[in-house]
Amino acid sequence: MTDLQLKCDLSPLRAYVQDTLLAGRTVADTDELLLSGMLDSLAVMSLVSFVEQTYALKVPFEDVVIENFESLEATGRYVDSRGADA
Amino acid sequence: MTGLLDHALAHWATTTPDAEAVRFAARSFSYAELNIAAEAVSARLIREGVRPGDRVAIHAAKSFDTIASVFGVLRAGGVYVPVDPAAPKARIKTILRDCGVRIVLADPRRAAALDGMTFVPVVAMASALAEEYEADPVPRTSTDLAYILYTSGSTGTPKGICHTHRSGLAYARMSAKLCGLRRSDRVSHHTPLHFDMSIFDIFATIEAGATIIVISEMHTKMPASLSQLVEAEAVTVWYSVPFAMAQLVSHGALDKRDLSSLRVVMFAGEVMQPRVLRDFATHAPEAELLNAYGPTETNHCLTARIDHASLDGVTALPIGLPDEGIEMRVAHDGELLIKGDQIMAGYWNELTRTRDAFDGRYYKTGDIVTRRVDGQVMLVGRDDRQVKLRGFRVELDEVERVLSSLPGIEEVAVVTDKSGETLNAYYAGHPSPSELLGHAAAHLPSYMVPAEAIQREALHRTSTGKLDRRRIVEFGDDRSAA
Repeated sequence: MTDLQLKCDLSPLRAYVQDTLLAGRTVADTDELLLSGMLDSLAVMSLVSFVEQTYALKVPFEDVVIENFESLEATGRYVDSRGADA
Repeated sequence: MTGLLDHALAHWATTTPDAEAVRFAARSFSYAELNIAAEAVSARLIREGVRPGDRVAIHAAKSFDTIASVFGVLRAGGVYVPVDPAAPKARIKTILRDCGVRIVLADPRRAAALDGMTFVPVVAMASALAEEYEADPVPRTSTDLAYILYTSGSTGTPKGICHTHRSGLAYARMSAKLCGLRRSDRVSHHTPLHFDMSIFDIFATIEAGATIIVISEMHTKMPASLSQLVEAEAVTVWYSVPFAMAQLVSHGALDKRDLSSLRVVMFAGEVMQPRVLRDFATHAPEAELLNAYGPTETNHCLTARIDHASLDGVTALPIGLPDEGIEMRVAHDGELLIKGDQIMAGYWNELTRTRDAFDGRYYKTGDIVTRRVDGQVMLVGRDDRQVKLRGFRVELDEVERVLSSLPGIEEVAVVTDKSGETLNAYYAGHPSPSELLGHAAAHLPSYMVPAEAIQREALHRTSTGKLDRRRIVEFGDDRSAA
């Protein structure tokens, strides 16, 4: 486990990605999730709605970009940045 | 220029060596660089024992390396066989065995996934590009096979569609001319290599001496990033399945982008909803809109030039008129038949299937068409997408067209349930199931109205971006699967 110094709790997101989206495959927080073969576009949409529900925020379309969701860590950073807006 | 698919690359590498051939991940590759990389791959393959006519699989996510590999295989006299980078292992194995692949060129992730498939050697693509051995040119002719594209077909067993240098080049030249491609063009490479639209992206672009803008797999999944890329790379010619454009319209934040660089917007592979095209076209008001039609067996062979002003209030777009060099015939049952130089040589290792696919020199598309009074061809549906319900013949595509004309519907698939007697509509979008069924009842005869509308977050798609109706039916009873 890397020390990410994130404010949000990544564990529900990690569990969802590993157990639901990747059928039990383990991923590191910095692994590239979007490279082909890992998450398809359907899974990306599921990931975004999971983030919305779990962290109680609305993700506008313009935020659904590679740099915000390319890894668990990037997603956590994005959630943190949104927390700062609130 | 002569009759081989890769000769244009050599030509431009000599006459305009510094011109941009490929852009990938914000990096630029000149014609000279692409040519050198293709030579390296070719030399490596020859050193590995590849002989003229040998099949070489390419199993990798799109990049500069995959384009260099395509040309490298051809230079070595080989036949390239692109394998879906997301395909499950069993399917990869079936394809590699079916056409007796000699070597696989793979990126690191795919090479690792192929570990244990010992019947065929795997060469790391990056190492092939760095090859220093030099090989003598291989004698070739335009009737040699150039590539094999595997499609599932309606039965689910993959069939290998074989194209020669001659058929591929006939298509590349026709389509380059159709789009008026010139050296200053920046052409999107959106579809994966195993999908026939990539033949335009790569070979028409290089034929014209223009620039291929490679769109990474990541960008294809992130519409807002994709629209950023189109703007940043100043793409002038766009080519994709309609779904990719629908995603850009619904999730691409297009209001914040400037897409005015687009000169040609071409789409194929599925039926385009006029509503989606109208919304897209408002962001590219100057672009010429081309609805391209054609199965992998023929390459795209009919084109409709769509007038922006014609998009209001229509529910279906024409597929237009035969392209240059194409002769068409409509059989008595409405089936579209196509003849021309750009048609496939046949299915790999399937003589009977090949024979059955043709009527004389005409390829039987399996698509049912009608002609409008102005001569424009209209697609009615697939002969295998026609079902009989309560004695009526129903075109499932027609039902889909009507349902998707309801504002707010993003995608819709109309399928028969397992009994084959009930229509169900699966869809994504904000209208409720009862609103959708109400819309259907208002516009369709009762026997064409689905029994049930099932709302989903999104619908299953194949790796080429087409609706995956088999999976939609398969998971049809599982309401939790999205």
